[in-house]
Amino acid sequence: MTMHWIATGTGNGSSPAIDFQNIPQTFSHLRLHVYARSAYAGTTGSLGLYFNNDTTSGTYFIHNVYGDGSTVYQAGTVNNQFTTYNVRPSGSTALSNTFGCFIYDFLDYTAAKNKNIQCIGGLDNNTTTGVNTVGTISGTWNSTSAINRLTLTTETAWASGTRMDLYGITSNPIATGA
Amino acid sequence: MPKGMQAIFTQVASGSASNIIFNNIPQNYTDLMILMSTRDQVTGTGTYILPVFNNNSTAVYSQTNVYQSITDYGTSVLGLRNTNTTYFGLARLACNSSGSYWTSNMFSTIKILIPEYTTSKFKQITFDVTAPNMTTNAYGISTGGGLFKANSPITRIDLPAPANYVAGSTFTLYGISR
Repeated sequence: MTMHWIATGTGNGSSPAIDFQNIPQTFSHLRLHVYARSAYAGTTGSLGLYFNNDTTSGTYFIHNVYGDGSTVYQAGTVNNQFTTYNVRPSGSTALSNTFGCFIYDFLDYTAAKNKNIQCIGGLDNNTTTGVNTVGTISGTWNSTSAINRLTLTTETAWASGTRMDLYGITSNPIATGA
Repeated sequence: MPKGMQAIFTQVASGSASNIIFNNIPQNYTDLMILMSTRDQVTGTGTYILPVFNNNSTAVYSQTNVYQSITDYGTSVLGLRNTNTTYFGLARLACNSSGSYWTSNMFSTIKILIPEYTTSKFKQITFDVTAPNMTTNAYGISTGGGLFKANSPITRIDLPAPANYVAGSTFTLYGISR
């Protein structure tokens, strides 16, 4: 397994979307590292994702297990994009200099089967209030199309300092030199 | 430097050390990832690792977890919140035991992502712990996030356990670049 960098998207304080287009179709899997803060006027902001510009209602199935340090919750929903639900990155009124941190894996992203999403992460804000949420989020995009575009959204805008890195993962044995 | 994920250094426990240290960490990557396969020699129902950055043992760490109890075999999930502690905590890990808890050859798998480790921002982490076992007495799962509320770049990571690591435990530090 080798992980190769494909592209990076950054927040600029004005756009609510970070878009990865023309994703190479030559890897086995994709990984996305998200280090994000929303400009939304709250302690946290939303984190949504959709594939291939598909925001059709009822296309993304989501379930998760998450907690705030004292209580653990489970949730499931159907949406027009894959959201991390209540596991959210920091918003504009969160402790400064803090960002939500997430790891996404998209296995077999070019195969003709429904696309599963695995995500872990969350936000710790060094407070005792409900700002801190972490968890595991799982989902499916009800489409067999190969993933060629990823769009990450939030309310208002992605704050400066937000960074999202897309990587391609090969699964060739070392002997092939992959 | 190739863009992607590269191993910086791997350490394999010999059985006589209770702390693994990565020192003089190169500052030319964007993110760090640590992958560990561990078991320690403490006698009990489970063990833990208390990572520390830059040899800093002041109260600048916080974390939020969702986890399964180590002894209830999947009957409940719990939350944990620590604020202003002197270390991170990775818990519910495999150890040696005099009773019927951890079967031989079972090691825990731990993944930690540390984005933006060279910047002057606070350092956010996300982590994932799985400690499978072959009995119904003990196993652990934990997902969470943490904050190292310090601005200095990370140049050293300590991974101390309460007893010596079992020989064959592995610790690999990766650099991720883009």
